[in-house]
Amino acid sequence: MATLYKQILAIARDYMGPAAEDYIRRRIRIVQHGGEPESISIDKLDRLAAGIDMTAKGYMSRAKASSFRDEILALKNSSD
Amino acid sequence: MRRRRTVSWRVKLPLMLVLFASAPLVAYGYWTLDFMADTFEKVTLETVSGLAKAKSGAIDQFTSDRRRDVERIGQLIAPRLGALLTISAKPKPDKPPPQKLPRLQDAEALQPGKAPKPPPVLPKVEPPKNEPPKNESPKKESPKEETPDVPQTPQAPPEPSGEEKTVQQAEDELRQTLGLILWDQQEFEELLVIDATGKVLASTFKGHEQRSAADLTYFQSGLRATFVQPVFMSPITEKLTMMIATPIRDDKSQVIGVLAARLNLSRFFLVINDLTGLGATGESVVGKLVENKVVLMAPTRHDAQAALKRTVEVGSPDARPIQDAARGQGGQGVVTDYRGVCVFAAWQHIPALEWGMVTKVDCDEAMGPVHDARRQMLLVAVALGALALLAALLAASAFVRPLRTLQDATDRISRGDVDVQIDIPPGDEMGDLADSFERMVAAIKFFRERSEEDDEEVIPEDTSGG
Repeated sequence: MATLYKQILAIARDYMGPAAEDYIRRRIRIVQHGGEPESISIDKLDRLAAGIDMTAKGYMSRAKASSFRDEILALKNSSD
Repeated sequence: MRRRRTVSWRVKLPLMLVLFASAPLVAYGYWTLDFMADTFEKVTLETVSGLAKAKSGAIDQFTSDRRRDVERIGQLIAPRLGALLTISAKPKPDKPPPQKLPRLQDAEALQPGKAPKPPPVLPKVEPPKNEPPKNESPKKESPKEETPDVPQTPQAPPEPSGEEKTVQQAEDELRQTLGLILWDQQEFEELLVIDATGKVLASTFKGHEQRSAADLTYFQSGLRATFVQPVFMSPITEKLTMMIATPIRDDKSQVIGVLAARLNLSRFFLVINDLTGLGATGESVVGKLVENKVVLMAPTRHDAQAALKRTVEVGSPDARPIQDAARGQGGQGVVTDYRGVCVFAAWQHIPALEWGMVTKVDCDEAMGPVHDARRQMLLVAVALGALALLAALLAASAFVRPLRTLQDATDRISRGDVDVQIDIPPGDEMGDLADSFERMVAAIKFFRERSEEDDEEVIPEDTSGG
């Protein structure tokens, strides 16, 4: 079973392409206050989604950024 | 540097689509029309060929029947002619010396392209004592007032009174026999009995009696065997006519005279000019080879005056069928007729007359349905082509528009403007392409932003204090 980090990365690749890994690692580090991105847990997904919602608009359309955020949040439900 | 584009997909696509849509249609249309044309050609040729065979057979049969009739009549009147000649041969003291007989003007107009000679003034005759029944005269038309072409009264010859027959009686008997036969046989217009010297002894056309037929072809040939004189314009009746002459033989098979019969050609021409199955332009043409020309022997549908006047030079490119048919060859095909018009024709030789017969229908008429179908198919093809073009233009537009959008976006990015928005609906390949493109743009923006951040980090702080 893929780890949560890998699931997040797979979603991010659909929106950020080759920049997905750098972008996600940066976002997770911010959420975990510098902690290793691979160790992200489900309880951090809300904050990660909020960060994505705010920053992704700069790289893609608003609709896409919202979709990106929603997919990240959906991970929370699938993991329950 | 921007490369020069040769042909836009906006043009190429419609062309390809129209080509792919139209090519099978055009190919199928051509194949169908070709098949139709072949079928119509085959059917028309079979029709005209069947008609030509039937007509030539009917004419052949008609001529053979009349030959046989004339030969039978010749045998029938042989005893009466023999009796007349026997009586005439007896010496008479008061017999006048033989005089040169006037010439019988007949069968001399068979010269291609020449008009018939005017009718000769014939000697007046006494009207017959007993009129034949009205409407039963075999001579349907009286050509001239002065031409006494009324056949002899069809009455039974008088019985011999026991006395020696006179020449006059014998002639009357012969004449009346001929009259009866003519009255009975509706196929003839005139019957003549000519002795071996060429003198017309008796005729149902009294004006021809006591004339000389010695130099006439039908008499000379008729002395040897049954002879059919081809159609000619009779200077007597001013009508197209035919003569059949046959030798009259006595008991010892000696030729004692010639029976010549002038045919009533109305039924003959009826067969030739029967237009059943020939549409609006079809006709049958008969011709005979005379020297180096084929002379048309009957009126045609397109030329009522063609008989004996219209000719076709042997070897001329037009009217090959009538040339071949007159020379004894048969066939069928698409050819040019004597008018220079394309026709579907079948041609036959008529052995009994040594004639050629061509039965034909104009190509335009025969292929009319094919031409109509071609016009309709062309209209349908144009309409479908227009629809295909419209559909192709719409398809090309739908195909090219997102490409143009992507091209513009790429162009802007290549010039440093990464702030592009692509409005391409998802759901198809173009949507997927746009999605990938947006992903790439997002990555470019991110990397660019990070690069700027990195640049800011490496810029040393100003330590100069000022």
